[in-house]
Amino acid sequence: MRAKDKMNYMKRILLIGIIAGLCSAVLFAENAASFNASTYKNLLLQVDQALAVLDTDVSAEYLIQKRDPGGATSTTKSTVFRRDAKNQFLVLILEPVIDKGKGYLKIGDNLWLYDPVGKTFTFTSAKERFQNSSFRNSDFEPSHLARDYEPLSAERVKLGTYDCTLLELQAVTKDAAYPKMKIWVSDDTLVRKREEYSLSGAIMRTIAIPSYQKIGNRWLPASMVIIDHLQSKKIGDKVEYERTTVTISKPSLKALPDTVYTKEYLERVAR
Amino acid sequence: MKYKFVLVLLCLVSSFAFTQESDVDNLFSDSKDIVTQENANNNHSDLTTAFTNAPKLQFSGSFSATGGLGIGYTQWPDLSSPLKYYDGSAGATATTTLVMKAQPSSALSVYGDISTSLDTMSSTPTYSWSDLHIGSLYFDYYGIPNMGIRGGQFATAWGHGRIFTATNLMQDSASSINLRVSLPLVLQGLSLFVLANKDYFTSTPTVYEYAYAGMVDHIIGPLRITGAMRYQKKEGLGTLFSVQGTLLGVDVFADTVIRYIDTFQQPIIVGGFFKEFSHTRLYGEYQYDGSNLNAQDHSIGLVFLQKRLVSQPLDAGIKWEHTFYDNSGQLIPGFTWSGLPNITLQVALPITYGPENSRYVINNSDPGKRRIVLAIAAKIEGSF
Repeated sequence: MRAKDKMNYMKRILLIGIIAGLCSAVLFAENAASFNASTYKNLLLQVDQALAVLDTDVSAEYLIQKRDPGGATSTTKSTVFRRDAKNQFLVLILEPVIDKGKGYLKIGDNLWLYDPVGKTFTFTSAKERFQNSSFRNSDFEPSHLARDYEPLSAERVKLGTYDCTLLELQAVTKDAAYPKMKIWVSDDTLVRKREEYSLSGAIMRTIAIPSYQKIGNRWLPASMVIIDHLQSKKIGDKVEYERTTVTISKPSLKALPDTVYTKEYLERVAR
Repeated sequence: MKYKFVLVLLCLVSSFAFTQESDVDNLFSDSKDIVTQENANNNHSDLTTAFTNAPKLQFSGSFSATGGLGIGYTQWPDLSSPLKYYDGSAGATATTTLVMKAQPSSALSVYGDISTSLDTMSSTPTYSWSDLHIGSLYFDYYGIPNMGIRGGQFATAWGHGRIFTATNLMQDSASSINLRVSLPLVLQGLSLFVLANKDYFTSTPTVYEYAYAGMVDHIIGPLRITGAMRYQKKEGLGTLFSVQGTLLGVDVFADTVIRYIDTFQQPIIVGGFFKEFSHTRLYGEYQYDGSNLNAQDHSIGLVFLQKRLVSQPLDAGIKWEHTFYDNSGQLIPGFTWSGLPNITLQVALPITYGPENSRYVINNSDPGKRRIVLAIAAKIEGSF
């Protein structure tokens, strides 16, 4: 009798498992069928539009605090001028003292680096990490998600206080910084979180943007936290990653003269 | 019981793995956006004024002093007589620099630096502070739209060589009086120069004896193309053509200088690469100097720098230069440790090789002209 009960119990468990499996398969099929790529492509366009400033310039101070795995910290303070319409930016390092006056000038796809000690410019397109932190030079640029990625899937999720759409993206242009990406887009079309992946699917960076600042009708990140999964160290029984916190202050949308985005200007202000 | 234990273990493992992820997600638990201004036209600060409207007069400066000793050999050691070529020395160098920046208006600024130094280790040692030396002194004027004018004594460098600088046609600019007119919006920047140096003139300067130069930068696709030209009556015409770009993630460049003095001279070519990883820097260069007639004057140089060795304030580096002209060269491995505020300890072992009277043996910067020397020095420096 006891053996029969046990058999019935096992059958019941099996039946529940089959039903659950069927339900999730049906739900998944429905989700896949209901996924409309063009709808989410439009969402990517709205995300780009929410963050792009095409009719004026953006100026701000960036405080970048890097914490290495294990605890060593470094801080970089810089002033950033950005012109999205022409894909240009100029970054001038204010701190630390040893790097004061170093400058970055991006024009199109090319980057000029200014060394105030040697008073020389280096032209490169190979420099990715900004001041050796997890913040990348491309992070100063406006978002081009709709141009560079296509959505593969979407689902509604909750991220802290935000109701978000979680999109899985795949790169479609060679300009895309990462082959795959997941983004959490809140209902006001702002990217709140981003996970960037390699082609093999390994996670490279996680970026959280817990708060934005609104200037007029434009949005700029107010703070960002970047976890670099490629820079890690095992501390005791825990793996620590390089963590970079970016605080953006003194935002301004005042239009700037064309001469700001020139080597001449960089040399002038870096002195 | 066993299953419970496995379950708890799994939970613990996953909690460790996702600690940092959940840390990130926790940032959103009470986050909210900031509305700084409702009206986009109101009160936008101009961050450029922090640079263009700086205080009217600023002074700053720096001080550095290095003391140390060097022990080595003027010829390769003779094992049967170990002290035969031995040479030991000790001494110190120091430099103090004062910098002045003045900004009478947002359109005009003046910059100058003066320095004094002492050196007990050079071939002509000085045991007291030298007379003040003007490093640079010039004005900048930005009152004309899209144009900058700089006049005075200042250094300009052309070409991309970090190791070999023979393609820098403006090497004498630091000791000349220069006038530079810059038009930054013409292509990627056009600069025109007039230079005056006592070596140019026979008596009262004439218009024909000044040096005239110009350089223009342009970007074509992923390449930076630079064309430059300089003319002075005695030295003739010098032209520089440079290409710089990035190949497979490595910065590469090629500079070519051709001079015309009555007839076209053979070219000087410098090519090189530069790559920087997180704490590692590697660059190398090749130079062909065609101005050296009847000689195959080829040289190579390589530099490797590693910062924060074993996560300590310890940097290591090695520099190697070699010329095939006379098979001479110099190899300099070294370490620096900067674990104390304002103090750096340096250890280097320069090795100079090649026949007597070869290029690197003659140009050996060691005052004792030692072929091999172990140099240990302490440097104290700071800015104020």
